[in-house]
Amino acid sequence: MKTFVSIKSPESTNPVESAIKAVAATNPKLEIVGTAEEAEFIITNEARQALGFLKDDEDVKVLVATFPGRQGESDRRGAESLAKAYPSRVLTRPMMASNGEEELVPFLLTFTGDMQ
Amino acid sequence: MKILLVDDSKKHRTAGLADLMALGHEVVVLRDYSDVRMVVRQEHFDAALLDLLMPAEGMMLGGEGLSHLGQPLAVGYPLAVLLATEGVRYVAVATDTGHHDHPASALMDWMSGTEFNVNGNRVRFMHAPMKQIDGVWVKDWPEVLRRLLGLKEDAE
Repeated sequence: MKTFVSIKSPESTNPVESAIKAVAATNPKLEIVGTAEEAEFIITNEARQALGFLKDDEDVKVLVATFPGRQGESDRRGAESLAKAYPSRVLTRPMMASNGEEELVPFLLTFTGDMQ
Repeated sequence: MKILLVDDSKKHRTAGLADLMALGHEVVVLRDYSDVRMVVRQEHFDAALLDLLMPAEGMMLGGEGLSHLGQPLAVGYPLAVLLATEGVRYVAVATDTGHHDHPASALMDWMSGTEFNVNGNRVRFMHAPMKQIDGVWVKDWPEVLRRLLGLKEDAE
């Protein structure tokens, strides 16, 4: 599955995006691509950006990976709302384990493209 | 005519752009309703063709408000009033959502078939005429335009 990673970060080196790409690249089901236009699956940390991806390609699937605590609070609310509005196209996962929900890294290592 | 087309669905935007340009119209296409107010104040349009239901955007939203992000919003109704008030001569709202599927589309049954006058400009609401392109059903925006201009009676 062609996968595009777009993580907004205040850090110029964007280490989180690099780390997510590295993890995703170890999953043989995922092929990292350079643009959203090529992608079948997009990983982002911004719910507003996720909505744009969903409108630009009616087949693309999106995972919103949210930061913990107050930093990610607004994106968590937005991501949960998007997942309800687009149940077969949007998933949410925390960057770090929270409330028993499977966190991002183990999820990406085994993700097969099934959005259930 | 110079036409503003606003629809969150890519297939409807793509089909509308191609079909309306083929008829010789100049078309500006918007994906996000949050861009409409700025664009209509910067450019003059003869007509506006709008979707009814679009996913709620993050505009002005924060805190609990973000729990509405992406939820279908009947934004076509206020946009129609805004655009007619801003001087767009002909405005149409066309939905492909069935009237059993969303209350805003059910209300369209009350609105369609009537010509509204907003600030001296014509506004019409309708269930969208549809057509197939390569097996995909898309809105027939030229037909919407014809009905808006009064060149053909609504099917209702």
